[in-house]
Amino acid sequence: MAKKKEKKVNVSGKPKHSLDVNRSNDAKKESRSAATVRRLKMYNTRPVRDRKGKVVSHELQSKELPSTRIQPDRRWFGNTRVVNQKELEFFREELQSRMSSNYNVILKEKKLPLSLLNDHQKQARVHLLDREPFQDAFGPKTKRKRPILLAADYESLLKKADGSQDAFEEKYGSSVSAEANDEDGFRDLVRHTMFEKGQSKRIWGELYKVIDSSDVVVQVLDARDPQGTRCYHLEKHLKENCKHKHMVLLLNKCDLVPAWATKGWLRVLSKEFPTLAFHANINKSFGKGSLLSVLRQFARLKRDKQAISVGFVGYPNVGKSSVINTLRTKNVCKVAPIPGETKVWQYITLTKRIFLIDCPGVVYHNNDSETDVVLKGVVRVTNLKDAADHIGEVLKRVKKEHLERAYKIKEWDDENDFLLQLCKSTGKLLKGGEPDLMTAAKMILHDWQRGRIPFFVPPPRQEDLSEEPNVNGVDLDDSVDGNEASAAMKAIADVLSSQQQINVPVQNDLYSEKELKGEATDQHPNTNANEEILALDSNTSEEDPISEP
Amino acid sequence: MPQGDYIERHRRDYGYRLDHFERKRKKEARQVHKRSAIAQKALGIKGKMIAKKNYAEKAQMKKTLAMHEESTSRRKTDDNVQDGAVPAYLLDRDNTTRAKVLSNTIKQKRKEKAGKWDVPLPKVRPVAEDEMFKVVRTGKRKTKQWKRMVTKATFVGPGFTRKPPKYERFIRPTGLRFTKAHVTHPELKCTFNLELIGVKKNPNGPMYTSLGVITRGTIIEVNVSELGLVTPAGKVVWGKYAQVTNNPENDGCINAVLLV
Repeated sequence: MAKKKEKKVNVSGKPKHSLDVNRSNDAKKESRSAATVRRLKMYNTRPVRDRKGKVVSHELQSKELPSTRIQPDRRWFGNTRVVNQKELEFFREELQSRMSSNYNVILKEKKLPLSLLNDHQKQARVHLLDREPFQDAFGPKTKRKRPILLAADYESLLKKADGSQDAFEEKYGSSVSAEANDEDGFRDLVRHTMFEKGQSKRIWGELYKVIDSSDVVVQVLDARDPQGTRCYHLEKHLKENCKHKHMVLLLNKCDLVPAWATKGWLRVLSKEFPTLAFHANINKSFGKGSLLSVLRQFARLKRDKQAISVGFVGYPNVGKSSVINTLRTKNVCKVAPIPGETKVWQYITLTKRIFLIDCPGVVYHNNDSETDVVLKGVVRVTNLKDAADHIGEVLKRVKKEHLERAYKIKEWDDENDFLLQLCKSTGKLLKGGEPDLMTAAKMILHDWQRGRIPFFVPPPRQEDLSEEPNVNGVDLDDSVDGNEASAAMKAIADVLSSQQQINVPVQNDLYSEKELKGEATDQHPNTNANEEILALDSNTSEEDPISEP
Repeated sequence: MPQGDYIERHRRDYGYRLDHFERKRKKEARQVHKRSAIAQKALGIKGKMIAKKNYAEKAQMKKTLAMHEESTSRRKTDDNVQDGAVPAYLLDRDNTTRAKVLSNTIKQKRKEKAGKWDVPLPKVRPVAEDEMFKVVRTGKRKTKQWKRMVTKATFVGPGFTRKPPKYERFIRPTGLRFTKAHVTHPELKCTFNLELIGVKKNPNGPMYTSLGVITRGTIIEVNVSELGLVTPAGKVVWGKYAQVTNNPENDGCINAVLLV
């Protein structure tokens, strides 16, 4: 009877309850695995109670005391890890050549005696015998008759003190200017808490949670200001404490800057970490295939694990959630053109082996002024009470022709005059025809944040303008390579170098033809202009027209 | 403090009254007559109770006196037994002194041998599961109770990454993770700050060993490169076991003894 019943259940294939093996979640109608059924049952574990409500048993919460006797064994007292001298020399030579590069990976660090390879600098000795050997202190030829002091008399001591004071003042020259500022009787106003966005303990707790759960950390940078939106503290933390995690830089919003600027930044940043250009749009994206290829190579690199997690970190309002939506080709994360929309970390499934983690924007504490904080997009513009104070910096950074085209204003004297004209042309007036400077300033800052006003920081100049794709640390001539790790890293380098050669699409009607061709000539007017124009003309080519959605 | 303590304290500080002991002696001598007068005058149930008590005391006194008389007059003495005498039913046996000595020698050797490979703390206080784990409630209505937070010190390897939240049952907080331990060499009597390589055995169970939980008595593997140990064959030793001697979750550091 039992056998017949069991066979009936197996043959029919219809699920009897929600945790049945025959119940399938996907469209292929495949059965669930035993591990999946076990896991789903684990989700429903709760304390078992009797009729009066008292807890009878709770899984992994029993009060039973285990036996804690450790059996005597001679293996406790032996050596567990031993290395030969020849192997030690081999490891040291190999590690010297490979460790300095960011494109090489040590797969199993636990098996290597890394502390034997590195020399400890902190074991500094006193070197007492170098200053005073034994013959000078003891024995028949003793010469020591008086104590050794820093200075013999009062004048030399005073001279030494003045020397150290001068050295200190040279080293900390900025604090002297701060003290000079302090003598005026004025002090800096206490900054509003609005400008501390992204620096709270809760936000950084979310960041460290994301880093703890990630195998690959993708730092999303704004292509308009890549160095300003970097988090150097995070990069240092990963390099020192989490050597097994990989850092990838992603230049988002590359459609808002000229193609030559994007390629220049790709070359500069690729020397430190693998860098990709990206345009986060669900329908018309750029760099999605490259990023997916890089992530698949990392998943292949970590084949011993069942799945890898990729964390997206960076400044607020650089487009981390938009990148995830683009990779998924649907809206899985909530996005908005204002900073601070993502508040907690979110876990998204990309493939069966790749998970994505979204992180709220983090800001490391630095010496940015309030205008820098506003122009990076950290603060919500609607909350600003003195938005007009930051317009001067905007007029300074943006070219005049872009402002003329955006706002139809030909001439202005200063930022106040510009705001006055903008108020009149757009009708932002208060009672009695008085211009509303606050609203006009907020309009300009909104346009700045959303990219309607063209602006970018140009990459630093490079002496070598060759066409060679610049990916550091990878030997491209090595065709015979049996190691899977180096094959994966080589594939990543191939993706990076191929993306540096692809034409980067730029948004229509944002820059003039002259700026798209060779904007770099204006920054160095005294150098060889003809040679640079010829060199840069060969770099760029016709872009595909991109219509606005 | 009892209420009548002041009398003893006064006597200790100022001495007794000069005729205290004479009065006490006379009072005890007159006690017999006083009790007899009370017994004669008592009536009713009080008289019956006093009579019963006096009868019991008198009976007990008579038994005690009879016992002493009996022990004096009727006592049996045993014959003197010489050393080495054997009962009749054991006369056929041989002497077994030599075998006993051999058995003791073997037991002593085994005991010494067992003690040679003992760790410094062979048995520690056990830790139950409700002390080791804390229930973490998740979900929108906080009804999911399948996650556990480890409340003891843990060690995770250099390549550690947390699992996705849907698959992670045991959460090890970053504040309780350790990478170094203060290891004392028992013979050299000096202490080093060495890096941890792994957790070999947790005495509370193999599940805690796989989770990397470090409690008192745990056998850990440490990186002994700084000590400069070399094997007789000329190889460099860089891994050795040590046993934890303190409670890391309370002290905030790991103290251990190197097993040599």
